[in-house]
Amino acid sequence: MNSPFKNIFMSEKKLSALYKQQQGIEQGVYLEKLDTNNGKVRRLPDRLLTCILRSLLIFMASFGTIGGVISAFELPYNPYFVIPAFIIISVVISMIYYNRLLFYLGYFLIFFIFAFLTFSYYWYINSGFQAFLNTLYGQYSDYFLMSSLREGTEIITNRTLTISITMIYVGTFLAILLNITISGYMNLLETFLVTFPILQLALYIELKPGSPYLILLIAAYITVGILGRSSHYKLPTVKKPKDNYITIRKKKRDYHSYLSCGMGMLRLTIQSIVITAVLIVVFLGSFYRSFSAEFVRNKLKSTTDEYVKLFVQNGIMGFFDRYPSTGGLGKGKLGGVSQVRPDYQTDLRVTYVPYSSDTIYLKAFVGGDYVGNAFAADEDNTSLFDGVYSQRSMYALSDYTHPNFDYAKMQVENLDADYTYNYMPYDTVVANTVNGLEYKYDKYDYIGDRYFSSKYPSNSDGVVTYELVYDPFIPSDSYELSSHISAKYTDYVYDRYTDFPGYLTPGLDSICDDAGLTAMKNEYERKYTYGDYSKEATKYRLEMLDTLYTYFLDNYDYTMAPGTTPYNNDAVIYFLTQQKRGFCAHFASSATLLLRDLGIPARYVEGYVLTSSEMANSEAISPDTSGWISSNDFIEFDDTGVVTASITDANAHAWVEVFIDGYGWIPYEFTPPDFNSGSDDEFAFGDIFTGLFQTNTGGIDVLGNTTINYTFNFDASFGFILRPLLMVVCGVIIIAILIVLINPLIRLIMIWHYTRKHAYDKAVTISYKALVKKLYRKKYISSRNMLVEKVFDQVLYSEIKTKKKSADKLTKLRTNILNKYDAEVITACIEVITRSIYSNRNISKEEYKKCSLFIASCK
Amino acid sequence: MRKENIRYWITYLLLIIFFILGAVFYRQPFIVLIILLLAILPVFSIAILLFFYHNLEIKVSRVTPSVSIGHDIELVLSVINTSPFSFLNIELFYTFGNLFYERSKPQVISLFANAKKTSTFIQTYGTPSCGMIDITFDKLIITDYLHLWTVELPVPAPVNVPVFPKEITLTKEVVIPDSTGEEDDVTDSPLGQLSRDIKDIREYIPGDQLKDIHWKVSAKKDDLFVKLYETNAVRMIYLLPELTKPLLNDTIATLQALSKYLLYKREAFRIVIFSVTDKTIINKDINSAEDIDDAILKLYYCPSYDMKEAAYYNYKAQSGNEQEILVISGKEITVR
Repeated sequence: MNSPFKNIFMSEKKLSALYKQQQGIEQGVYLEKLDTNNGKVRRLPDRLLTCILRSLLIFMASFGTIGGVISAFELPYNPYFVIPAFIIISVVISMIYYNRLLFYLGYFLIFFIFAFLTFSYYWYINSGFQAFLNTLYGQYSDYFLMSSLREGTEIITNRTLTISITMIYVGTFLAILLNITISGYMNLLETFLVTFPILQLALYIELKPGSPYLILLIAAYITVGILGRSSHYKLPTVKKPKDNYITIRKKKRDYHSYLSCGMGMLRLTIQSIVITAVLIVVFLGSFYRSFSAEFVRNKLKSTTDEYVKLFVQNGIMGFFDRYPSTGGLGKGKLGGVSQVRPDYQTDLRVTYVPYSSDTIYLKAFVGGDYVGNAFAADEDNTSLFDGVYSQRSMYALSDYTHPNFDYAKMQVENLDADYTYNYMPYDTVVANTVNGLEYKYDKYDYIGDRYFSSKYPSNSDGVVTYELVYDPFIPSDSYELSSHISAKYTDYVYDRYTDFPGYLTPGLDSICDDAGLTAMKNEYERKYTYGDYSKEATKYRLEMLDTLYTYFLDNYDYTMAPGTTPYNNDAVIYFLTQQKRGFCAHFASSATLLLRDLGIPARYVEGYVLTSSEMANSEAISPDTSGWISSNDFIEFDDTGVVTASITDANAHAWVEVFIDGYGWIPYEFTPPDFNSGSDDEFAFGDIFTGLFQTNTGGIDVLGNTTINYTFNFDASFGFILRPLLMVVCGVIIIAILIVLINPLIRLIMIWHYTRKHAYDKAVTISYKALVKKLYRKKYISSRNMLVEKVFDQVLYSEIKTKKKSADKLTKLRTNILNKYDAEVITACIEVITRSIYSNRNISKEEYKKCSLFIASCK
Repeated sequence: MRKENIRYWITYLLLIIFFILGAVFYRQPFIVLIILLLAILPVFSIAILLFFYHNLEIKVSRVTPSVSIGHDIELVLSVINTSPFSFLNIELFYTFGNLFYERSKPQVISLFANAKKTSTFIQTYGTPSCGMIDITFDKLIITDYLHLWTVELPVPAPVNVPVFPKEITLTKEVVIPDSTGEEDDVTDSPLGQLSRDIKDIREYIPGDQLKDIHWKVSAKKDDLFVKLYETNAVRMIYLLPELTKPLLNDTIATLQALSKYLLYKREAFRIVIFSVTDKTIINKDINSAEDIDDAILKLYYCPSYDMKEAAYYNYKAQSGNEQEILVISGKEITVR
């Protein structure tokens, strides 16, 4: 037999007719149609009611969502205007599904009305939207401790009016979407996805929507879920309005489902609202008080926070980087990376004897000229230093075995770092012998990368050995003019490293004014001259540096995900004046330019840092330090040996070199510590699960970055979920116990009540019904709706068909009853019970007592 | 709980896990509230089912007792719900079919039960063929709102509705086979030779032979009357319908028409109800219209087949009846 479905383009009507014909031929009978409501043809009222009930669900979901957000942000609106408008919109939109004409015309009409209203009330809508965004940005800035970035203009300042109109506008749009998810598919997931993200605007920063809105929204979820599962929510089809069922023909079976039932939907909706209201009233208050996301510290939350901040500050473009955003050196490029995402692979391996807990900087890139959103690599100006080099080239390593100068050796192996650079620690004095000469480089003259790259060849294993002196700059010490710093060099430094593009001046000046640095600069210039290497001048210059650092600390946040700088904005000025959050490159570059604006020579430096953290995690090589350090006297740590530390791309860093008159360049750290997320910026999917069991017990490392040491803490992670769940479980158990206990209790009270009133027949009826329920539950009788005599016939005389255990109990019960009562008494009791239930005649007290005893013995 | 519930449990648990992860990471009261709802709703849903499923009952409240071919059969299902909860998921599994043909594939009806109300659902079946329509209910299950638990209730009793053929009149002359009785005092008739003894008279109806008109009585009564003759006591006519599938409707209709004609003629005849599968033979003597319907109903329980004259040859071999019989196959009546 050919399949009736071979032509897939056949209309539903023809297919159905063909199917019936086929069934008629094959089976001699076919299912013609299904009908409800006892064959009544007119289905209009139920159809209308179904549409209205769907509109009720749309109203609950849309108003619950929009109203919830607005209430959470405590924005004013006029409920007498908004609520009726939402109801009307929901009804109108849901009626689109009423019939074919409305279905096709409805969307066009709504679109035109929507467009007309948009143009008519544009400024109201715009102002309301701006008011909402201003509030939203304000709240998010408060929550994330960001400076408020946005202040949209509200042309119409009556917020109650503008917010109300905007709510209706957005609500209409939402209702159209919900009409598809609710009227069209009654799909809970889609309804949730349409509404929940909107509510997240408030929930994410712990703003609390009002309970009435949540009740509406959750009740809508429950009703949509149940109706969707039951499949009795659909209207009779537009094409065949008399058919109030759908048939789905599958290979194994045909599935016929009756469609809508207005009264059932109404009842279900009301029940859902009641259930939700009770639950929210019971639970919500306590949970709002108990839980706070402020103390949540996990990687997923931190990552999400970063992205949210990115979005709030930079919009969708904040997510797109303009150049690679992995860790490592940025080579002076600024502003184009929204978020630094290190791969945590080892870039350098350093072998040395840990001699100090101070951070060891491995310098690579030196930025000279600022060329707008980038520092250009410093030029090779060796010609300037001919005299210096020729003088210094006479020195040999032995010259530095001065009692004041302890020296050490450090080997740096480049595994994955940029090979165009050397990664040289400060205080390097002697390098390998090249071309028969021994060069020494120190803090004074190292100016660039290219020049020295040729001077520090690595061995065949790619390992470069540096020898260095331990000669830290101590501000309190008095420094005389170094013999290596010529006036020519000083002039060069003041000329070159105080220069910056003129368009930056207003922005930099405003920050200097704000930080109080302009006043300090004036004071400095009043007291000292540039190039003054006196102790006081140096101290004052260092005070200026400290002031700038404190200003950064107070007004700026450290983050690995600051967002990109918008096009046509200078990265440094944008960071200083608007963004106010960033990572080391932002702070170092800004500080460099601010110092230059103050007349202090400064340059931007990139490289790697070796912190105490890497030192602590280093691998011990040998306890014998001979050949690695000159003596153990200057080492901070006891019993240390030679170690190898791994430095990953996360250790890449940017800092500032400041010129100290008479002394030279010193590294200065302007990057404030990360108080928010610390070292957990890395996020991998697998970390979701490790994060589950971790809690923060960290501190702040030597670099100033917050470190987070994770330890398992079940209570902190799951406790807040378990507690409410346990409460629910306990609550359910208590309710179940109460139900079990309350039923007999109520029954006893009722019996007591009726016997007091001498209504013995009613008391017997209650006892008998309880007995029947119990007998049925034990499967001693086949139905609860049998005549009295049949019930007792089955209990006392019929063949026992239950399982053995149950049968034994029934046999025992029978024996007890039959031993206790003879047939006449049993018959009399049955007659009394029948009379009590089915007639209006009362029974006597004696009859009641006899019956009660009989019923009790049957239990 | 049944196998069908497991996927809903899995989905539900995954949903809860998803929200728990959301709550663990984001720790929002609203998500916690949703988790609580998700934890409570199954309890509610299952509790409502277990407490109230006793209050649900499905009955076949009305059914068309019999129909003639082409007329619809109506079956009314009543869902009685005395509980305060609507929309517990009710699914009734059943099959239907004409006993002459193959049964339908399993059918499932998803019904709704209005709270505190009796809801009625009408099924209408088209009947293109005569035969016995059988609707058997296999399973009645009630599932909670979330499809997490299922209970089974007793099903309504099966429903059988016969579909009778349309009444037709015989267009061809029927030749009655020779009887085994005495042959004196016989006369010709469309059914063969009949006894000449006048048993009764009746009004003339078109088709009666002129020679049977009782002219005397007709003259007296001023209307035409015909003579009815006493049939031969020993003569018995056997009607054997062939239940060949494509000819079923015609066969049953012809059988009915012929039977009525013979009954009208007061012939002694019997319908042979022969099952070709189990070879059982029932000879149904026809003395009234009810007997014809009864015989047809019995015939409806016999299996149909595709071959022609399968009944005749099998019957002959099985019964050993040497007498000539009227074999009805479609509209054809042949004396064999």
